[in-house]
Amino acid sequence: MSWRRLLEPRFLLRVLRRLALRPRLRLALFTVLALAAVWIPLGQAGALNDFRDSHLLHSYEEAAARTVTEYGQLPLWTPWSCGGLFAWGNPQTRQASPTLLLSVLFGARRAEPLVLMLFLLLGMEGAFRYARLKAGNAVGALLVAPLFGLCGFGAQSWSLGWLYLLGFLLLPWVLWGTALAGRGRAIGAGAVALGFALMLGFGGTYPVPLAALLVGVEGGWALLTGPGPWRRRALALGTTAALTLGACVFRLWPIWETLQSGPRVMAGNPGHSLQKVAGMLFSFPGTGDKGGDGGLFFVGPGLVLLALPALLGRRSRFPVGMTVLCGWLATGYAAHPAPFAWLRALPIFETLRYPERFLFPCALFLAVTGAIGVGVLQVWLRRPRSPALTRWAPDLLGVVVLLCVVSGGAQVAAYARLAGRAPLVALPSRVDQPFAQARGNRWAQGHLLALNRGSISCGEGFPVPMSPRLSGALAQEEWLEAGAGTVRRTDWTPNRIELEVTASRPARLVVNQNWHPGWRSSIGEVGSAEGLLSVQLPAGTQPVTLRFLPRSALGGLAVSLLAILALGLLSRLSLGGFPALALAGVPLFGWALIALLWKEPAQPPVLTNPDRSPLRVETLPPGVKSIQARFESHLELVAAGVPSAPDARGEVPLELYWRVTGPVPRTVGIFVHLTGPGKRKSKDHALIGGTWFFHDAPRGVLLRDAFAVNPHDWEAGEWQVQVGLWHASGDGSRLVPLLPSGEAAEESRLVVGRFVVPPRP
Amino acid sequence: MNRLPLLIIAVALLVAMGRVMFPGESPPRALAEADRQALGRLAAQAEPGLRLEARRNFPGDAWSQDDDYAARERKWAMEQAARRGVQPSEVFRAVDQELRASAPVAPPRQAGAAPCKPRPFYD
Repeated sequence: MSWRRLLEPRFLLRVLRRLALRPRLRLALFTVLALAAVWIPLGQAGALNDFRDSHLLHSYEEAAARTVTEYGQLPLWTPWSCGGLFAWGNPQTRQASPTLLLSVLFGARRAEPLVLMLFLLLGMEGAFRYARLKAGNAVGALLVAPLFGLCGFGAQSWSLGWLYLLGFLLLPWVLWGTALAGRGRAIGAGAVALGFALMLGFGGTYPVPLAALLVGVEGGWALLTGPGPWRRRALALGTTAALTLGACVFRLWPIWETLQSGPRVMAGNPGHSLQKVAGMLFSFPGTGDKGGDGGLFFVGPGLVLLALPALLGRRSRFPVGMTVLCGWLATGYAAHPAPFAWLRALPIFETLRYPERFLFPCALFLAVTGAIGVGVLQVWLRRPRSPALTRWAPDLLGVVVLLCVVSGGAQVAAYARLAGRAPLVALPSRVDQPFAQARGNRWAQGHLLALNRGSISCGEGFPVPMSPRLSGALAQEEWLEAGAGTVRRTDWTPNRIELEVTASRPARLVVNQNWHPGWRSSIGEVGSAEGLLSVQLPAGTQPVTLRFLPRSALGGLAVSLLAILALGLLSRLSLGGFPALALAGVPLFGWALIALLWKEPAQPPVLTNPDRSPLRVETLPPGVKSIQARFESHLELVAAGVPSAPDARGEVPLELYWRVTGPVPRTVGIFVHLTGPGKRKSKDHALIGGTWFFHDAPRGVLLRDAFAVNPHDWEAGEWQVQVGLWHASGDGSRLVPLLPSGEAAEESRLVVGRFVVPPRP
Repeated sequence: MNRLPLLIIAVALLVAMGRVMFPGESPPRALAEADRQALGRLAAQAEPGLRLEARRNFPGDAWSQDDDYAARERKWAMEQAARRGVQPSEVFRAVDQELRASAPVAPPRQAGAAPCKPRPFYD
């Protein structure tokens, strides 16, 4: 066969079609591409990623693999992080996923690039299936699938240690599944349920809510435009939703419980200009770790060229609309109007910090549009409408293929460049010593794990329920309070601690780890000693075994297994019928039963100010100044505490006492102006005590908002403290306060006190 | 011919697995016990100064102060490790041993860290 024949467009098209339609051939192509893309990460395996987030996040996986291989336990509790925490309840861990097996087999560090390759492969195959379904064109789907899979964000996630964000690569699978489920296909329900379960098990902070939103839109589209009676479509999608919920309970339940105890709050108005967003998608990433944001989601401009012909057809309405919507959302608060701001008004979505992550789905919908564009070109090729097109059409196909090859090559190169940004150092040698908590350091936790030391220093994305009594300088990690006897550790594992206790009187056994309601004891009553795990024991000498058996993980696992069993049975039923819906409801009924019969105490949130003082107070403390100002929107500033001078540490602690009496817009925040000799400083904050927006704060109670300033480098003299409320994440306007006299305050702010900064020594 | 794609997949996976099994960079040397103790004392001397800077950066915010301190301690540990040609874990081991030896630890030094309460915004 001559080279000329190989390059002949119609022959090329035949080859591409064969590659696209034969799964083995297609997977072989994707595997080779994935191997090429992760070649650099594969060569970096076994090193320690020294980026701070990687230290924190990878330590969970390392600890999980250690829990399985060295202790033969399911890694539910990790004592190495934050003084001990429920690992499945933390949305950032990825250990509740089958990929843990790779970490167990190869070691957590060495498994990382293999996980990356696996997800790349899944992403490309998923994108192929979804694009083919949407475009009705296998060749186009084959050409664009790698362009989505190789989106730069995967490599970026690798280099920063955010591996759990690879869950985004499962997005095409759940969308494909939703579209098929809307057509009554059971395999669609399976893809959605298992896709979400895997995404959640792998850590789903962003992929899961974003995918849920997009699946909702895809489901709505399927309901409106799918074939057959709409009732059947609705039943099929309802069944899929129920099964998906059931399949995800193993992780949803622990995460829900954890976030009830430590609610994540996110303020601020993140946003990006359209130019910056376009740069993230289409500009080639720069070199080094200071390469900036350009190309972080690199898919290359070639994809836009492929997508252009699609604009001529009606088939592209949905993907084009979704591309625009996702791109718009990615601009965050910078757009006017800003759909991201509307989204942040919803539960769960209110905790999202990075709008640009919508660029990942944006890349997918752009790829689907590109596949439709290729299809349009193919139609032109087959049925040219003009003599000129007849002449040029074959060459046009050649150009398209060349464009895809060049784009794919550029993406592999961009991938390598982004992956090469990982700051790698030698893996620390392990020190064989008994486990103990250390003060630790969350910025370098990988080094602490090698020493078999827990890190009390914790930098999670939510307020982890932690004991302030945790210590990294104890001679013994388990003891009896008030010197009531002795404790000897007989066996230690992450999820089970065996002790020999001799108590001269009834006493409390305390363990230097955080309490969680999932801990059980072979004897006595488990409880919290100022947040530490403790057991009230009778007098005498006895063996005590503490086990971590949380209801939400074990019960949730049973529910999810039931849901997977139901999925298996679903193939015998029609997805759009009531029997299938009833079957999908069985795991959820089981969930309700477990929740009802297996009682476990709740872990209430610890509500404190950043200085650890309580947020709610019954009465005003002595010495504070009464203000009694009423703002519009059901808010009262009751009193304020301003000391006359800095304290012994050189700080000026400030207190504002608020009362919320009714609904308040989420946009309302506090501004604090400190006006002194010739200068003005500010201490604005959107949340009371770093915990609640006024919108979410409890009603009718006294709330103490404590914060401080350190004026060590301020001008000496008197400083006035002025306070007001404004629409911090809205139009910036101020709320008008009314004084007890009924007068409005000047410039809508209140003078609440003064302090004097002494001259510098 | 039908088996060729499977063969390609198998070879690609084997190559990937083989590549991750290559030994990584060999770790630098460990510290002698006496050097570790001396380094621990050095860390103890550095702590009050680093804590003061952290307190000034985040007045009235216990977690942010401790987190800022941890970032400074990490930088200090990396510099010490590079200067001595040892792993950073050796420096953290020295800090851990010194804290245990000095118990009970008195302010401004700390043997623990404030419970995690991340700041609610970053932009």
